[in-house]
Amino acid sequence: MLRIASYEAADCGDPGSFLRHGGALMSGYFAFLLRRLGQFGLVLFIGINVAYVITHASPIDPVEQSISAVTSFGNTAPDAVEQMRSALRELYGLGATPLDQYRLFWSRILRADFGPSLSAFPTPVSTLIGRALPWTAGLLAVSTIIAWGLGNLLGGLAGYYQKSRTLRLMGVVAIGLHPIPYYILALLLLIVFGYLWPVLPIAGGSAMNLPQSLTMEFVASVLQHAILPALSLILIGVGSWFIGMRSLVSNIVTEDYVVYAELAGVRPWRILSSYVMRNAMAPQLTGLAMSLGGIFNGAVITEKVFGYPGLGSLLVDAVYAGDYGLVLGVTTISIVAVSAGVLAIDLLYPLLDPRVKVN
Amino acid sequence: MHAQAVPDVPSEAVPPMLSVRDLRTYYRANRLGIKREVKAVDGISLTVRRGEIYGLAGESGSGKSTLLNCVAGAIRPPMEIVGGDIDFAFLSGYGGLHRAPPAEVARVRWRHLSYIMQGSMNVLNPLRRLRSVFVDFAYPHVGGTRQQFERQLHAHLARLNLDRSVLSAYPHELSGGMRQRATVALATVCRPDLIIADEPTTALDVLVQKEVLGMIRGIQREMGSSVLLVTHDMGVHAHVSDRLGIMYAGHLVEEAGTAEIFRNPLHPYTKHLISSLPRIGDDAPRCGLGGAPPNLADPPLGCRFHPRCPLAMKVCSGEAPAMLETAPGHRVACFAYNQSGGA
Amino acid sequence: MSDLLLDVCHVSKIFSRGGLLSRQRITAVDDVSFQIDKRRPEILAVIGESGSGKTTLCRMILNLELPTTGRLVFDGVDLATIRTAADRMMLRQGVQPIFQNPFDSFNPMKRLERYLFLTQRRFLAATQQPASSKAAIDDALHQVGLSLKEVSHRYPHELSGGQLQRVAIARALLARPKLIVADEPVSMVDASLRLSIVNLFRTVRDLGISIIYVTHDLATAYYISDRILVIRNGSIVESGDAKAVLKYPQHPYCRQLRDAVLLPDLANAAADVPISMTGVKGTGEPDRRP
Ligand SMILES: Nc1ncnc2c1ncn2[C@@H]1O[C@H](COP(=O)(O)OP(=O)(O)OP(=O)(O)O)[C@@H](O)[C@H]1O
Ligand SMILES: Nc1ncnc2c1ncn2[C@@H]1O[C@H](COP(=O)(O)OP(=O)(O)OP(=O)(O)O)[C@@H](O)[C@H]1O
Ligand code: SF4
Ligand SMILES: [Mg+2]
Ligand SMILES: [Mg+2]
Repeated sequence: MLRIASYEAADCGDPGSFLRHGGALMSGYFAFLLRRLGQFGLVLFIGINVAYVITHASPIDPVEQSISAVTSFGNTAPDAVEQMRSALRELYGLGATPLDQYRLFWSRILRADFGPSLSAFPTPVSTLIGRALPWTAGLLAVSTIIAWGLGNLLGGLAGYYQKSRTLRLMGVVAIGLHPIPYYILALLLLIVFGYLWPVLPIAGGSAMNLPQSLTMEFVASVLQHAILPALSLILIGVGSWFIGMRSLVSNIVTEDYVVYAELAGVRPWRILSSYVMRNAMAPQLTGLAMSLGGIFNGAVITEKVFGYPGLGSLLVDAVYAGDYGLVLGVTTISIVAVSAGVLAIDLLYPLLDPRVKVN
Repeated sequence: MHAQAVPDVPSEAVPPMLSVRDLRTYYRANRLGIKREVKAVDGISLTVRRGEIYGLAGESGSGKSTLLNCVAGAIRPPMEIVGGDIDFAFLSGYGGLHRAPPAEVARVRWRHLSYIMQGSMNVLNPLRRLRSVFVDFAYPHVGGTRQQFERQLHAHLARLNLDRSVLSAYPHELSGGMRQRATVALATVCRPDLIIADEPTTALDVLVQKEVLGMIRGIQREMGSSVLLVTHDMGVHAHVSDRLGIMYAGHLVEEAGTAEIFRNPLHPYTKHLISSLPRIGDDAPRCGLGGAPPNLADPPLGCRFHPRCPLAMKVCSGEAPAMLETAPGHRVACFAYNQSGGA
Repeated sequence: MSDLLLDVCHVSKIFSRGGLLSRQRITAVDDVSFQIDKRRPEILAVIGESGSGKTTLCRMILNLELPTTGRLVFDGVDLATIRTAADRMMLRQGVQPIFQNPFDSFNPMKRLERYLFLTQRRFLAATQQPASSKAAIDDALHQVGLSLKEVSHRYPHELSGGQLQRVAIARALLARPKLIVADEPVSMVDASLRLSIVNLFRTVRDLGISIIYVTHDLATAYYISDRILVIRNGSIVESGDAKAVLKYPQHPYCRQLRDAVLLPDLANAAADVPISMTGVKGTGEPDRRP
């Protein structure tokens, strides 16, 4: 827990562990908000630039790549090829000076326009991303939140009611589940529910033959397809949140303020909710924001294993196809997501823990 | 003075508010096969009468807080009650809160028995505003509407010299003394029958301390409550406690009316405690008790004070003195005073 | 370079607290100035009302809190200019804290001797051998009436409040600082031990270490301090030679304080604790709104 002004910190002379606490003036919070937003912008700028440099440093020339893709279907007149080349160069902005190229890149980024995709020419990258994003966000965000909620609730209960048999058993299961590598668990689920007892679809985001519209049938199919990937994510996620929360809570229950509330006969559910869970929430919410920011990284394996049509699959395909516009697009989205997650934590923390000073 | 307000001889009709009989509480640790047993409370008997403030003083580490924790039912490993009974006027027959059924415990907590823990400036939830804490702790026992409760709180806080604005503060936004007063307010707002207070005024300046003690005495007079008060401040005991018990190394070594203890301290440790206090205007150099404090994991045989006692005799290192009455209401455990084994 | 060890110069600290809508500003420390001379180590007692800003002042001297206005200079270094970890280390070496609440200041998961060895290593690593470091720790513990044997393998909660506070003092002594800031260091220990500890402070001062001794115990303040500051409502209301101020206080508040001390005898009925029946006192919390 937070030890304010402890001898440990006095030994290290370290400002961080001296956790300055005190009056967060409201105007102070706005100044802090602005500063954090500025930092957020800066991180995005640097991150996207790095992605830009890396993709542009790649030896693959997108124009030549497209042309070879087109010409491989048959004979094309050299004239036409030349015409196409110059048109493409213009489209990608490659004809201009590097500075102009860079400028063009940013003006497009700001409009969320990553140019046309190469592997799915001429569909724009943003359309592809737009199509894949809801799948990923829906599946991963929802299962991350469910796992978080469930893991924390059960972990909190297990830390508080340390004598309960059921909760102890759950702890054993969680600890047993935890070290299993994710892909093994995912494959196991696939084998069990897809082949041995084939009750659930094993690939795709919805049944192929359904139009993507808000019909009952479509929604049901989406949910059905989401069960296995979501289950795999939740099983792994619940385990780790459970373990983290249980140890956090079993420390909190020995804190004086919890003991004192118990001695005062404060109702158990009140102690559990407002003294124990509430105080564990600040670090746990930080964790949630972090993992929500990171879902795009986790998407790759899940979506590949379950053939899910999200950003992860898109990224993998784009890398294989050398579609650098698409790679850049997906990377940018995940940079935005991760830094938004970090931003959310920074902004939330002082509100969750009044002791943390905002400067 | 007020010490006379309480009759020295307990009347048969009224059972005491609290009686502790031969309480033994050890801390038992078993680390890597090495067993340690700290005998923090080793055979203490005392009674707190109705409407009485019973003061406890004694060396740091002599087991005062341990004793209070037992009475309040705050028993967590490695602490273990090895023997003895604790009975309350409002809860008897079980031998202590630790043995009573949960429903009974819930019934008496805060309504009949409240506890101000040691380090009371540090027992408030850091993430909860004081108003909510008061609602959690006291509202269920007080009843009425929230507005009534709030008004009652304001009046109570004012008695402790606290502004009502502290209700909307988080603990870290208050000074040590303000937090301590807030805890005292938490423990007294329901006006329980027995208040157990472990160093409730350590962080207060003398003026505020006086007001807080006055408030506690006020409640005690109004409600006929009893208070078990631990403090190191002998000045506080002199002015507030009706009777005083002195502890040393897990034992109660002397007990008498406050006036009697200050006028006629018998046990050598008590004598030292009273004579060593510095005063404003007195420049004489003073020093603390010589020698090392006893290690309760391996206490000295016989009288536990004998390695540091100026009066130590041969018998003292061999036998433990029993607590015997030397005058009505004055008990002492020392061979220097009419013990059969001693002088 | 000046001869001042500590120069507190027109320091104020403003906090704000309360809900989002009803925030109020609190002047915890209000234009406080005082100095400690390097050539004359001293014990400076700070007494005063509860909530008058003593702890806040200490925290500012320890650089745990920055003043809203004013300047603090320790040993020629303006605390506002401290930025790097190395600077902070230097300051920590020079000023050691002893906190109000021993329970709060030790990590419950860490054995006590670890703290002592860590301090020993951090601050004196270059000069000491492992064997002598053990001896030095044992020495420091003996000075406060404990021994390494007693403390070894114990966790903070296994000691009583008083024992723990003695460990904290031993720890501060190990660093051989120039200034010790002790915030109510003896409020949790018994009278006899209290005396041994304040006597120890005197020894420490004679070794050349100055001590800022925040306390509510006027008797020990009288007994050991050289100089005294009386604080009320964030500002110094009286200061000067400790014995003179406590014996013949000038300011009415100081007089009130001195007269309210509960003496351990039964004669002074004048100072007796009033029984507050109806309660509501006129005094209340001093209004801090500007
Ligand atoms: N959890 C524990 N494990 C082992 N020993 C303990 C534990 N808690 C306390 N002790 C020991 O029990 C003894 C009594 O401690 P207690 O806290 O009751 O003392 P105290 O009289 O209240 O002292 P103080 O006045 O300093 O608060 C001490 O010697 C202490 O070291
Ligand atoms: N972090 C904070 N946020 C808001 N107000 C604060 C904060 N810290 C202290 N205060 C306020 O500043 C004032 C001074 O507090 P401080 O802790 O310095 O008093 P103190 O003199 O040490 O009192 P005590 O003797 O009771 O320990 C108090 O009114 C307190 O409420
Ligand atoms: S019994 Fe002996 S050693 Fe113990 S206090 Fe009395 S005289 Fe001293
Ligand atoms: Mg204690
Ligand atoms: Mg303070």
